[in-house]
Amino acid sequence: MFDAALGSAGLVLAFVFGLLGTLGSLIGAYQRNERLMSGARTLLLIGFFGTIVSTFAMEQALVSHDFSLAYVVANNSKETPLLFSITGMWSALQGSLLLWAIVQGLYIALLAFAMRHEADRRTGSVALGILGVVFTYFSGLLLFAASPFLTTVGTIPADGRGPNPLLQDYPLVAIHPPMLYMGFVGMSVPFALLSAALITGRLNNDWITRVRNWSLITWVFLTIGIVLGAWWSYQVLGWGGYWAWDPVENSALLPWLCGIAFIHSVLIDRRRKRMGIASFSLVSAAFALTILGTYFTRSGVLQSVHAFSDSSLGTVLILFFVAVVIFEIGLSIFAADRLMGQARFPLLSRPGSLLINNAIFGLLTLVILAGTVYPLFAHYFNHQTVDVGAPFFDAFVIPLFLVLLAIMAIGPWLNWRRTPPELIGQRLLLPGAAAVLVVAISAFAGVTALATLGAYALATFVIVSSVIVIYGNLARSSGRRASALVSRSSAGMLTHIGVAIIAIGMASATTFGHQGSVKMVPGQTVHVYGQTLKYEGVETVVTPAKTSFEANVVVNGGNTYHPAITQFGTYATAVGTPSVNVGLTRDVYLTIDAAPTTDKGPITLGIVVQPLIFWLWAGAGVMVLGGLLSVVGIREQNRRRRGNLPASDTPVEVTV
Amino acid sequence: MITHVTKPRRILFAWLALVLIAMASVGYAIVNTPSTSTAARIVTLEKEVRCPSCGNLAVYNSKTASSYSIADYIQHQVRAGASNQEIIDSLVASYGDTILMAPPANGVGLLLWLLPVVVGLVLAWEVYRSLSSRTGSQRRRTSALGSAVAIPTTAIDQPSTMRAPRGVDIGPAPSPGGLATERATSLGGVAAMLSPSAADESNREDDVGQPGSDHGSPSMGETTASRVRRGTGSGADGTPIVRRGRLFSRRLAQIGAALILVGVGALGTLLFTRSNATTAPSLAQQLASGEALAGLGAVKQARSEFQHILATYPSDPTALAYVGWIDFNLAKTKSAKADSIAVLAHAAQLGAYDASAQLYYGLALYYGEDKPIAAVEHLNRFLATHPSKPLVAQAYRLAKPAYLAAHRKIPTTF
Amino acid sequence: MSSVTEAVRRRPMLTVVGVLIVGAIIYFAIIAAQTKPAVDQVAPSPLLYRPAPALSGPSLYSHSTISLRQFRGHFVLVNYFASWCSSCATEEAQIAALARSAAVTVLGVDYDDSPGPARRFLSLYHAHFPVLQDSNGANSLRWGVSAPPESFLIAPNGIVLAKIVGPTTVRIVDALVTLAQQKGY
Repeated sequence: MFDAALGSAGLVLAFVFGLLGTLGSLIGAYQRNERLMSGARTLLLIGFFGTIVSTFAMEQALVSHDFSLAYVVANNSKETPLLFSITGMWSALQGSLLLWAIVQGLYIALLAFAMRHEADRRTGSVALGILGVVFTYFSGLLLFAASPFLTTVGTIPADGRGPNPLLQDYPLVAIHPPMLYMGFVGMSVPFALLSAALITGRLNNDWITRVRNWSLITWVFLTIGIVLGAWWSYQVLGWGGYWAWDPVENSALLPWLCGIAFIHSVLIDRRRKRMGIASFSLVSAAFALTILGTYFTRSGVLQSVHAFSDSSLGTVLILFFVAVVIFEIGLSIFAADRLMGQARFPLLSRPGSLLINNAIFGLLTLVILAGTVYPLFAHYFNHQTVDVGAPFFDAFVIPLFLVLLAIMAIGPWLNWRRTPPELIGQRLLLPGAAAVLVVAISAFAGVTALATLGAYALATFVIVSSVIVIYGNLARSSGRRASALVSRSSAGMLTHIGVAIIAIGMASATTFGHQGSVKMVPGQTVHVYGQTLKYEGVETVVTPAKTSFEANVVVNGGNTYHPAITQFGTYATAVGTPSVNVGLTRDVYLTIDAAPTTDKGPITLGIVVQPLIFWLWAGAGVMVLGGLLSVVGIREQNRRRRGNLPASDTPVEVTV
Repeated sequence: MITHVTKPRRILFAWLALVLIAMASVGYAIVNTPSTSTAARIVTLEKEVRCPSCGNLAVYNSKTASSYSIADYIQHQVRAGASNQEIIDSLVASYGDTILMAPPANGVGLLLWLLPVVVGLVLAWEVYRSLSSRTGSQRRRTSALGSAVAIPTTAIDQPSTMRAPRGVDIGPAPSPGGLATERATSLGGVAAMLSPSAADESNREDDVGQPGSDHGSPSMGETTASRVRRGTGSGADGTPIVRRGRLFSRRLAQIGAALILVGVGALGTLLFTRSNATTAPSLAQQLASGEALAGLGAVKQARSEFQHILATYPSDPTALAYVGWIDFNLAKTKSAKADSIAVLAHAAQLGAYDASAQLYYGLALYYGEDKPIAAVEHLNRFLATHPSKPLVAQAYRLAKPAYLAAHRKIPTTF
Repeated sequence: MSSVTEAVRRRPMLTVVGVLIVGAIIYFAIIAAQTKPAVDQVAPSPLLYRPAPALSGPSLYSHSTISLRQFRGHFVLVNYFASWCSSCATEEAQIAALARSAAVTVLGVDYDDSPGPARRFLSLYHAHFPVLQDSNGANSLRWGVSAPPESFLIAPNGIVLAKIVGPTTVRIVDALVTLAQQKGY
């Protein structure tokens, strides 16, 4: 009971002070009232404190198994281990909204801190006000529509149901959702900053840089979140894949794509020292798509393995989405004087390549958005329950992705002004030769799928070309290696290398992957898809939280792997738990497809062998590393600006 | 920075060689592509069909009872010689479009497939317009509008009331380096979500560029936008309002026309494809249901079911035969009877190996035209098609008099 | 509000496009708001209003073969279930009650199951109705069954009238039968 009271009090605090702080920030900025603005900032921080109190109450209730809370009964049991008790907060609808609110509060606090020395309080105040609107909206949602602090009706049960089986099997559940929320919710910050500057008219180059830096930070979080999500699906869901074009997955991907396009689009703006309308549209779209994504995942209108479905929230969320879009479009109309229209560029120039790049990202976003919302329309017009899956997305995404790889390889070699073709020809000769070499070798080694050949060639193209750029950057700044490495161009090139490595991994895993199942008796050894499997028998492992039925399988004479079927607490249905032999050249993915009826009976093992799938995770790691280096580069950049050092991150001038 | 450029011709030759090698490799790959094996066909089908009980996964990727039975069915059908389309159709007939991993390209689904293509084309056009260097028509339009654009690069913070007086239109100057001249024309684009360029309308009337501090300081060693603008000069808008108004209405008309076209197209697609959009049953399924209806004695419904089939497959012998036979039995006048026999003759001609066509034409010849010998010929052909037992049993009763009248021995297969 | 008209007049293109986008989004929102989350419901199926597909298999209790055709002339509720399925346990008492009532004849189809557990499961709920086994899933496939429990209401003339996905109740089935009788089936 204490937890419920404390948590609800925190929510009231968050909502009331969030609302007051938002109004104060906006009115203060309008009246240019310094005292009101700084007072409002304090109010918003108190609102943030409210969400901290609520979160504390929620965690306290989960960890102490306080079954007087309905949410705890549904998502926790006495046997749930500590880690999964803590993660219980984001295992269901209401708790995950609380996570949203606290992350939004955290971003308000961070932004207030980052702008504490700002001479002009007004723009910052408007930005905080915009973030405050989102914060107040979500705390209101928590307070009035989806409170996680409802108490159990009647007698307090002795034990709860425990978290969803899929959410208590793998420790990644502790990291993936918070990372994803940091990225997802963080998309509101660049949007708020940009909108605020459009309203007050303070859209100078420093501000553009600030918007870009925040977008970069949230983009890195979102990348980490998405990659961890894919990795988690791979480890837990048991079909050997990592991405199913599920509505929830798509919801995270959409703002991520807009984020990439924005980061590239803003490169042009910083050069021209004015914010382009394209960039504003992209950052607005990214933010609006996070709200739309929340609608998809929280309303239950789309069927998904990851969704929390609750009908009552749908309408409220879709209305907020409409309000956000109207605000964005209205702002772009009324503040268009402060934005720069689409400029004309020569094709063979850096801005030209960036423009094509962004158009393709826009198209990708649209394809994925169309595929994601299509079931709604099909249901409305045809009264059919239809889902859109891989064949539709692959048909568009794969060719577009290949074109993006090509641009990625060529773009960094172009000058900002028109670049003569012969110069490009000369600069690209080495990467081009490497790509052709790879195509020739793969073709004669027996690769026949053209998309795969294309992916190999273009990925090689990107890797060689990016490595040369980084090498050039390092060579030119002999004295300041570290700063050259974190410079924008090097970090960006590293991200590109990561993408290329991912492309190689994906192409290989899909083209040369095998899957099937084998029936084995204990002690039997089989050779399948080039792997040697020895089945040694089964054992039953019982812990308080779960009962696992584990098979012991020796892969290629090395370690023993334990694919299992696990039954958690009171959940009737057992879930399969795969076991993966991860290798640099191939993964062997094992599941139990049919359990033996007796100890000596035959077992059916599912086996998926995918070459180079490890490269996917390695590439994602490189991509995140590149993003992190650019974030580090922000500090370097700020230090340099303060110290008036000459800028070293001029766009690459490549020496071949 | 490259100071020395290798001879262009050598680079060209090097690239030519590379392209040749690449083409040879790709050609080699194409030549060596294995022809689709049965196993590959099964995998393809399993990837196109959804596991009915596991969300967004294909049968290929899932391990539930329902996906196993579909996988078995697919394998069985492929081995039995069914085409991919037949297998897909039969699954759609029992599960609906839900069973497909991607919606078929008809009805609302067609819009889904077309949308990316259309938007892609619009975007490509917009990007092309943004990228192409200034053309003659471009120049004409620009000077007509008189909107050599100059944007203040640092004076953004100034309130718009501090707008400087309008300058003189000096027309477009050739831009040094050719970079980033503001576009004078606007996009005609539906794709404005991504690059709505309407802000240049505003620019046209916008503040006159005041040389800002950035103009003074030499920036990063390359020609930047600000320098181009300086080169272009601080020209501003001298266009009479009237022209802009006309331009606006013309543009509005263009957008309107485009929208109407898109709307009509979408509506047309919906109307024309919707009839078979909602879970179109396969021909076999339709025939089976028609036969079932006929067997139930629901003659009228059966006839309309077969008419429905004929609307899509006008020369399907089975459907023709059933329609003819039902008409033959219902016919009250002589001419109606003759008409129905003509239909049956057509059916028998089209379906030399179709059981129903041969059977019903044969029966009609005996009962309608009293030609037992010709009737028996067709009835024998009917037996040669290895018809199903129930149909044979049903036919026996009616066919027996024909054989007797023709003085032929009744085949043992009856 | 002259600043509004001024802003709109100066950016006609952006205004038009903006209004279009907002219109599209509002249209989407209206559709979205009318879409209710998929709950257990009388579901669409291509089988509706068509003669029921073939359904036959070995009986769960004897060596004889049971076929849907034997029940021609009655309203039949074809109920796909499995002993391992938890929502089947939710509905089984209702199905057993339906089998005792006169409104419909219940024909159970045991989906991906073995006879022993299935018999135990049914006796647990005192369910007494003919049940056929569908060991290879061929019947389920013809009927477009995704996952148990799913039920189909068949008219006396053999036409499929309704498909019910998820646990059903006596009330739902009774209502469907009444409706069908009013329509003259």
